[in-house]
Amino acid sequence: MDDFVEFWAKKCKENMPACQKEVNRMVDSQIEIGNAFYKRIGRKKALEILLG
Amino acid sequence: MDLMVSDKNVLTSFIRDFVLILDKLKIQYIVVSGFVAISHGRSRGTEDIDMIIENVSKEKFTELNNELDTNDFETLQGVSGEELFEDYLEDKLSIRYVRKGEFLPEMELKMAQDELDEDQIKHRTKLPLTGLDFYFSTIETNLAFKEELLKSPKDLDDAKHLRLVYGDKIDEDEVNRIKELIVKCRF
Repeated sequence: MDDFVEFWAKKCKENMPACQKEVNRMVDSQIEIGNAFYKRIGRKKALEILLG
Repeated sequence: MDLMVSDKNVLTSFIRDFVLILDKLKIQYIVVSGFVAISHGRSRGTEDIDMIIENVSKEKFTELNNELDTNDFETLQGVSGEELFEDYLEDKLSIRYVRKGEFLPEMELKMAQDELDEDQIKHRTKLPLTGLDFYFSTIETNLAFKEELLKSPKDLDDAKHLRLVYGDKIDEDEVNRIKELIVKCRF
């Protein structure tokens, strides 16, 4: 096994709930940090970035 | 309805609250693409969820938009329900819903645009491995899209993850049927 996707998928096959829990924690952190950033720069600028 | 989602998870509680409104209005939907892989434990980040709803009238969509507004959702586009329908959904563009006052996560909502989307909704399914009581496009549909249409490194890794998780439970004839439909409808 020489890549991370394969390693992680194997881990998920062995224990899906544990795998999901770790990923959920990571995604929640990403969203929290992202929201804090957009709020700090203000709505107008945030929408310029998000809507392109 | 118990959607088996812990309120402690931001993304799944966001989807749950959104889906409860669609269910209330009897609008069929599917969650597609990245979140399908992530809900099977795929280790990568995301800030949005892709969703397709069945083809609805402008009046029905306006009812949905009003109900979402009542339940603390708003769009990043910030225009009226009528404009959202005419300028986005009818033009095959997505509407981006967030919780009021927040920027993430986003629900990128599209309306079924062709035979391929209608086929996805027709075959929609719940995926017990996710532990979530939402409707998803099938695993075979997601593999076909990621391998035949999207093809970015991220999408190919999503497909690889799903293939490794599901193994020989994947119906390859069905994957190929959808790939042919993708070629017919999108190329």
